[in-house]
Amino acid sequence: MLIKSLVSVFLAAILTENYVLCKFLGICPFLGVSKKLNTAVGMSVAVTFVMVLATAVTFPIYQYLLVPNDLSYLQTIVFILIIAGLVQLVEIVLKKYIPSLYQSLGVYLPLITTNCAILGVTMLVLQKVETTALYTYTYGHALINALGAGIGFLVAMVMFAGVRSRLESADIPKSLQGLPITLISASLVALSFLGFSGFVDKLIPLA
Amino acid sequence: MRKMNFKDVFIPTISLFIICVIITAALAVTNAVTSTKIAENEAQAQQESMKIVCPDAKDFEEVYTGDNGTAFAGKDDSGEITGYAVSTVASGYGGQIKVMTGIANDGSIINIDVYYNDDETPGLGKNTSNESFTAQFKGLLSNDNIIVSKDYAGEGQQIDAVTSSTISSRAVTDAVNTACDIYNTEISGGELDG
Amino acid sequence: MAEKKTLMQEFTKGIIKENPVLCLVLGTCPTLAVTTSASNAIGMGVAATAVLICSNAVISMLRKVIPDKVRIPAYITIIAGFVTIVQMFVKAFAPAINNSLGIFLPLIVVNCIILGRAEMYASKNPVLPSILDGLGMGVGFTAALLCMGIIRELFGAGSIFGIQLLPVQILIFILPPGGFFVFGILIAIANKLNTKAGKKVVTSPCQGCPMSSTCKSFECANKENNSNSKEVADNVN
Repeated sequence: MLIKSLVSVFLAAILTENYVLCKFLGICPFLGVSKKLNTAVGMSVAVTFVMVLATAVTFPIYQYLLVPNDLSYLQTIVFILIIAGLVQLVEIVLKKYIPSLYQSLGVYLPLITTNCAILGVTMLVLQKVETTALYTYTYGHALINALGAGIGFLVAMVMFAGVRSRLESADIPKSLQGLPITLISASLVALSFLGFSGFVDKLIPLA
Repeated sequence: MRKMNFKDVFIPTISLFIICVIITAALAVTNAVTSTKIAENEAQAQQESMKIVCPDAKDFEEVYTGDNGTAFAGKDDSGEITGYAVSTVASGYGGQIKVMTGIANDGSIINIDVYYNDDETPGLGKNTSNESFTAQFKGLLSNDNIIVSKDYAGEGQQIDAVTSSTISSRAVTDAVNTACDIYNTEISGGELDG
Repeated sequence: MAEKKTLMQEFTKGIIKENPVLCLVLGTCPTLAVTTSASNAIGMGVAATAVLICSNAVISMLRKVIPDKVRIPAYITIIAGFVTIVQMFVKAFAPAINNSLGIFLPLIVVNCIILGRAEMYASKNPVLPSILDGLGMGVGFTAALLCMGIIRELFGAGSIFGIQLLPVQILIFILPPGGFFVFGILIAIANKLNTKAGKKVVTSPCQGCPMSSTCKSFECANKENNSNSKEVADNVN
């Protein structure tokens, strides 16, 4: 049951609850950084890393520090400061100890603080603790969910980078050039993800 | 550059700290002002929902509370129990779905009310709170599982799902079944039949 | 931005000329996510406007006090504070709006419009113009959201503000793909009008992004100069 629910959480985060295409979180980098495949991958890896790290820190802080002390109203402010701090910390650590990784991912880090997908994931996993009725949603589920959300982001970015490279050579009406056609192609990619609705529940029935 | 001035570190740190303290204090004050109102709103939403599913009752008294839900006995003016309102939760497509189920003394379902389904897709799963869907539960029996079925909807304990929202519909049905379980094990089993 | 402007212009520029959503392409996440109905769009717009006015006012007041080094964390703290206050008031006095906006209410914190105005305007200008700037940008944001909300609700649910108008419902408009599509068409119209007026058109959300000063990576930088990443990395800190 535990393994089943973990797999289901992971797959759902990538496919049916895709943060970009189904929940509209992290649209800015999705539209801004998806032009080239290598930047798209770099950004997604940095986002995934910070997502998991941020969830790993905020989940216990909320559950064991804020809720018992009736301070859950401080959630937003505490989380955003933790994320901002973590991003700085990761930047400093990478710069000092793994300069090669810093060169490839470091440039994306300052943007991540204001990426709503990160704050969104840390808050949504906490909602899931209350809303999941079929099994107990644990810390492990939250981490797997964050990892899945990051990989879902990567999948969306890579797919979209592919779509956009095709667009480069397309003959597009003048008014639609640039952002409009990007958004319309995003609409078609999102449409394809709609096909996954109900997929995970059918694949791994938990009830 | 390596050696940092005391002033360069101290002043930013202290000013950031002061900002944090002031903002936190402001939040604490706002929370103190609004928290009672927020709790009242939640209680009121529940009260209204109970009135929908137990229209004859004037007053509600909590008779059971557990991990799976909360049950209230609905009483009329003379204090006679007219039915039970059971609040349960199930996970739908986008998140939580909260359902209030009204069960009459004879064990049949009076009505149900989906009072929270805002995480479901608008136009799809959100339609589970529409009358056309919830009315299907009226008169069903609490002692047998209710199932979502396409082909035999309307026959016996079977209901039809909202178009292309099987997951949300099934979640509502699960919540109603849980409510029936609570009624059978905690209320009718213990009090009326026993 | 150095030319003198009247206070009225500070207010009106955000509504049409520098509309944060349609011209600067900021705040795309809520624009796409909460515009499934016109009333949601208004709720989001008003909440964000309230935060924008308050944060602009406070940041402008404190612009000489906040040390430059910690200005971004300081702005984020102030914004997060106001977002939580607004959220608590919405929960207390308009619980229906809180339920339908869900996670996007606290996520106003990371709405680039708010941090963007703090960084680009309020940190450099006196209080009154900052408040008007916030109000104008907020109204512009609300107007754009309302426009999206009306189109999506009309086609997707056949109604506006819940009043049934059309007998048919094209469900796809209120689903995620419809959001991207309507937004794309609206930007195309805005671009068309802007090019007619001889103005530059935004081609990437990076251009208006408040972090673009610290972030020299993406397309915005790629176009200007392909500086090597080492230098970029050093600039970041």
